Amino acid sequence: MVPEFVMPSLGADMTAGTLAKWRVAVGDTVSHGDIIAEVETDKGIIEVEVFESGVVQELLVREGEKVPVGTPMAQIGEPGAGAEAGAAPVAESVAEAGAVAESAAEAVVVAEARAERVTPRRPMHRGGLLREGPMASPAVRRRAHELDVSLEGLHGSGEHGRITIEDVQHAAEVGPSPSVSRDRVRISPYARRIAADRGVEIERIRGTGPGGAIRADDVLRAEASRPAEPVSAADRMQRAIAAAMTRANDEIPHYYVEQTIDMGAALAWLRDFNASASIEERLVSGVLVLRAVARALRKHRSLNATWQGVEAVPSKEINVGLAVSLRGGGLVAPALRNTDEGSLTELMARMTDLVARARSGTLRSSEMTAATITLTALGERGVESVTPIIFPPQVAIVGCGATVERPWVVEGRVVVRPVMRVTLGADHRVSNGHQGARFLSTLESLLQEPDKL
Amino acid sequence: MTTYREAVRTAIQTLLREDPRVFLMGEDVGRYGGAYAVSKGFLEEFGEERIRDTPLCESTFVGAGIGAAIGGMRPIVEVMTVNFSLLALDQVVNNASLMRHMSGGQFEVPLLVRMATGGGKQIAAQHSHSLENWYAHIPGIKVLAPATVQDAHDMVLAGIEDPDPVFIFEHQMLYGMEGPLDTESTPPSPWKAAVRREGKDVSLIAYGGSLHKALGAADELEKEGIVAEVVDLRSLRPLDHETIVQSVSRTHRAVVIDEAWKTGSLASEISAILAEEAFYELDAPIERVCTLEVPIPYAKHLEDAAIPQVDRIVAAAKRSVGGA
Repeated sequence: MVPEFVMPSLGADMTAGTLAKWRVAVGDTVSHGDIIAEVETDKGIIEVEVFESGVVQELLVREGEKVPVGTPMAQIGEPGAGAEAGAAPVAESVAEAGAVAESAAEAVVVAEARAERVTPRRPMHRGGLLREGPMASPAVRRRAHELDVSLEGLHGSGEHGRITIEDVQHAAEVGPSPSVSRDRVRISPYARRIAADRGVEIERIRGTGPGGAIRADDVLRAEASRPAEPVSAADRMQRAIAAAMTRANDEIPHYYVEQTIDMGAALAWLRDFNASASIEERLVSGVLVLRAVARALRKHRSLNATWQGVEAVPSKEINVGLAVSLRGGGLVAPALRNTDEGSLTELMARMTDLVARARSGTLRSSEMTAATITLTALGERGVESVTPIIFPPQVAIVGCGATVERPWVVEGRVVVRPVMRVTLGADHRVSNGHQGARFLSTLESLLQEPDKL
Repeated sequence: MTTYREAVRTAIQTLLREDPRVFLMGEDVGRYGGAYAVSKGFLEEFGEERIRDTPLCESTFVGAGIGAAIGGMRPIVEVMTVNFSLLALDQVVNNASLMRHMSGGQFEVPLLVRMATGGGKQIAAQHSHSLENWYAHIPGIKVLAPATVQDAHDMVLAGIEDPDPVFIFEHQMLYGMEGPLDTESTPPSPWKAAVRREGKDVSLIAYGGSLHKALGAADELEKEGIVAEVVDLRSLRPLDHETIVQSVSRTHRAVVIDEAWKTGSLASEISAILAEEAFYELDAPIERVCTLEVPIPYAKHLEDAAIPQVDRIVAAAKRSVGGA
């Protein structure tokens, strides 16, 4: 089979992306994790990794082309699967075989054996099939026809995404999926025409006609309410943030719990550590908080999850997203994978690198989507507490204020201590205030023993 | 001001006076003066040779008209109503419309047939139907539906001038209608539709008797801020695609008013033309306001309910514009 490289979803609100640049050409060998393309989204240009290893067989999308999420962009063949790529290893094998063979006859036998072994397996022409439509057997197609179910866009639960009879029957029962119905917008022919002429995206128009049909007036209203073009990248990002935050506020029943944490022990440990560390290895207090949040989540998995339409699905990894404000007003929250693992020094280096790349606009696609919770620290500006809004589909967010010296009661005496207010905002559909409070309590304990972080 | 009846009469009288090839033939056109009193006094003025009362046999006198036309005359045949004209359909379809084709262009049939159509006068089902769409289906003949006093006059003249069989459908409710008549100016082509009222929100497309209901509906709609354009088809064959499509391209909504039954009507044909030629201009489904699919009832309230009326046109236009 020929795996496909598809337009990735680089955020919950992303529906399409523009291929800014290919970093590979047909015939290039790629392996898991390689950056093979740059995709422009509302959040900026993102470097996109490939999750397959193999040889680029075909680039299906041109640079500058905007395609919906999930659109196949390239076909990645197994090494040796392509005709050209396959020829070289065979020739090499022959030469190699010749070198080690005692006699010419033997060499031929070995070469033939080798050639047979490395002859490209006849690839399943999934790409070819896809061009004609989704993978489905004749029986499935017939059933789909009987039930008036469109196979286009139908999720296949069978092997290699093959559509099964059950998939068709399920689709017939639940009706077309949103992605399918979006392709069939109820809109008058005239409205469709003027929307195309005026470059108004019909997916974004609210129809006021019968059955929600979009009519010419709706198109003109949508056009009038559209911000003046051209829209800068920063404006687009702001719009994406607006959409995500509006959705969060509309959909997520937030609750908040707050605790003031004594940072004395953490800062003292940090001073000692940094005194003996080289300049490159020095830590900032933020990395301690970051690690503590990640470690606390190990005990409170209900906060480390994503909301999937009807329920929260716990995330296997703990990937804390770091809210990074950008010059020009933008905001991104890329993830630090497995924030709970590795040494503090290593985490510090990764954090520094991540922030730098966020600001230079060279984040990787996985970093844009992998966050399982977000940490926002606004202490630098002197703010003492933050009441953050969850970034969907995450179900929790942690806000930290500045660490400030305040009168603090220790064993009945008032002393001056550096303290920090930590606020947890969480999704009440998934967790409750009691769980939230226990998380903060765990976080507080962890920060009292910084050497164990 | 002149009545519609008077306008038709004036045109026929002019032709009879000016062209010796012209004669009038039909049931009760002579002594009785015409079922709708169009030819009152003609017998006295032009004599029995040119104003000929016929037996009650449409097939015979329409056929005789075809023969006379082929023979070089310019006959005007009056059929009492479209309902009775069905008896002459064989002559129309198998002779009049085919003659040019079957004779390889050797013969033409410059025949003018006039008849009343439509309901509203409580003369019951056998006298009230609108079947002009049956005629508009036939290639080889031409079909006109004058809706104004001026057109009632001009179309008779144009019908006689035309070398092919022309059928004029006069809505029976219009004979008493008054309007200005200009017999001096050159009339516009009868084969083009006319915009009777300009508008921007919806096109009301009508012909014959329904034109006045459409204009009445436009008045009502204007009170509610909807500016309707009213198109008078005038010619039912050939149909003026251009004017219809242009109008709908301005308003993006169409209501077609037709006193025929909806199924297989001219309203259906116009809807299809708009779907074919103005699809990307349509902002709402095309609305058709036609006669309910029943024999036209005798009882006044039922007859009114069956035939398109102003309120139904207004409601259709509002659906089209308002999206409610």
